Amino acid sequence: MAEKLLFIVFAAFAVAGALGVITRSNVVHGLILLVFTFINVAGIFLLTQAHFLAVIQILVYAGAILVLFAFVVMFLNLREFQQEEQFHRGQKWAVVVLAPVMLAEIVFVVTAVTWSSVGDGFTPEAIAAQGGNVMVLGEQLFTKMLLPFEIASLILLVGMVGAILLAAKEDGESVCLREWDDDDCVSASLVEREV
Amino acid sequence: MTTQDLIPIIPELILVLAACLVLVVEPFLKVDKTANVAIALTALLASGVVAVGLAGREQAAFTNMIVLNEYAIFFKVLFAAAGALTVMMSPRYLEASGRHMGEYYALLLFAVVGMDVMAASRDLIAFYVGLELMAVSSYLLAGFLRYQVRSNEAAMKYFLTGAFASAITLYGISLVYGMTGATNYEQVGASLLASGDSLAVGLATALVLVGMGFKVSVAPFHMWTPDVYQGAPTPVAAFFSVGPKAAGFSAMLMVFLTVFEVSSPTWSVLFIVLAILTMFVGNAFALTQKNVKRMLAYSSIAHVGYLLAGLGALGRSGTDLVAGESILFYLAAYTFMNLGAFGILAYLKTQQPATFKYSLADFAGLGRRSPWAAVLMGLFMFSLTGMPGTAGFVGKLYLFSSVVKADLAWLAVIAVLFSAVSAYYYLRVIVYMFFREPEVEYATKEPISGPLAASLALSAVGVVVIGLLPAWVLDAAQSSFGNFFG
Repeated sequence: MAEKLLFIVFAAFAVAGALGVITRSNVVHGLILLVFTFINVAGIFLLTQAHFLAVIQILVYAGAILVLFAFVVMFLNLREFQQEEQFHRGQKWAVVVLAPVMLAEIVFVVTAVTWSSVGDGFTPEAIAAQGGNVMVLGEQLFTKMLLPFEIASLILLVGMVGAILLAAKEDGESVCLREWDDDDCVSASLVEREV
Repeated sequence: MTTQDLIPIIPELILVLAACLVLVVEPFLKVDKTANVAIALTALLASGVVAVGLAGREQAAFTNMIVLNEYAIFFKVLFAAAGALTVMMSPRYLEASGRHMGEYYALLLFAVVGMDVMAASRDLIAFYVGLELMAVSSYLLAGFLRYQVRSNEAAMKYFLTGAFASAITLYGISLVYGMTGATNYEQVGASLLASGDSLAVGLATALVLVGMGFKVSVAPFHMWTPDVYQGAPTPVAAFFSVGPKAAGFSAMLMVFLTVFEVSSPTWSVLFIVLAILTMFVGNAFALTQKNVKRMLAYSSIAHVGYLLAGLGALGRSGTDLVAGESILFYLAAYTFMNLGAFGILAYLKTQQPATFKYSLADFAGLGRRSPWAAVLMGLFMFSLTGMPGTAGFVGKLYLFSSVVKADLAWLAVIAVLFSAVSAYYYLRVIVYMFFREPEVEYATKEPISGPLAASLALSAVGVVVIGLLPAWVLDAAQSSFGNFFG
């Protein structure tokens, strides 16, 4: 009973937070609500005995990814951004019609299907018997999932190469603070000297 | 994992090692990047040769994550060929654009690894990470010319649509996993067959189809295609138009034949509807383009439409896989002719970096200016139209006749009619090249670079050989499905 109550609380907060994220026009408010949503989702993971996932959810999503978002928000010029239309007026009707249809479809499917929740026999009891979440997950990752794991590491390598490729400052390159205003362009060496 | 498990991925291991080597060597190279071009080219050729050498082996590896079979080998060789032709047409173009960096070749190699994994995977998770490896590398290649606004735009659009597409695909996959508790193609397929078709299976099918539809630019999910192809460096656009598309089809064929076997009536109808829409959108918009690069982008959408007709037929024909074989054959033929056409664009751009804007007017008088380029471009245009004697003709012949065999003669008629329409915009290029006088006289040009010439020549040889002696590729395509139901 207590679990059910907790689930309802976490789920309600998560949904409310997510709604807040997409309705706030202030990006920083949206960001804070996003953290709130992630933490509540972590709570739901806890209730399903997925302790490791709950910790990862907070570390990776509420921690690392949110910091990334915060950086991006700080780089953007927020005052100008807030005044812009958030979506096309002409497409509003499509949202009003299509979103409820999609929602109804998903609700129908989710309630109609018999979910096979214990693929490969991973019940909470079985996981506990094998030594807990971290142990089982780690073993899966380095045995059955070894190939996808290694390919994922290649994706990270590509991401790293790409970040350097797109952002690294090159010799003699001028840094334009505003692209359309030549006065704001300063050569890279000048910036470095000033710092 | 045992050492045996490594055998099926030797072609990919070669590519990964070479890509890392390129990254290590790059800081030691100054202006001349020949060493890195050589490494990338050697690795792609070695990977293709090793893949051919592995032919005849049947092996599952990494707890059934991926397999080695004729099907995977067919695509590994095709991807290695597409990658090698792209590498050869790149150096001069990148030098002309002032951004010749070794990372380009590393990203290209990583993209090919991702494509190989997609074709060889037998598990939804392996398929997905392969897809992402290919996609992330592609986004970066599209935005490689970082000081050009169009290149930035291409990368941004490709990244955003690609991310949405991945999310939609994943949502479909998660539904399937929720229903079956498995990710292995055969296990999921068997489990879904046992429980029967339902609305949930239909929704999962549609979601995967839409996600993959974005990747291979199926209308109405094609919006990004012309902008990305136009903005990306031309050799990269050449690669995009054949590599990721063929990889998308290689994965779609397997996923829909095995995982979604139970919902084949659903996806067959969906593919037929999307095929007609895609053929219409691709051809109609290609007609109005004055920019040849954009025209080729829309024409590539039209070709996806023809391939989708084949997929629709495949869903109708049960255990008869002739439509699948003809899709493989068409992909091979299409790879050579489209790489060739884009290669000519890359060549012309390096000749006149400032004045050549890919517009039709720039092609006026090309027949007199550089007859060889004009003749080759003419060959590729004929092949894309589907003229007899070229690869495009044989490809369309097999594809459309397989559609007829699946009792979809009306769909084949529509496809042929659209091909006839396509003749207008392909042959218009030829008219401009040979029968129009240029408005401004161009300066004399510098000689073509060796690798680019080789790339064009090999593409042309591919088009002609597949056109005149299709049996060789057709045999490979047929044996790819050899023991599919065995």
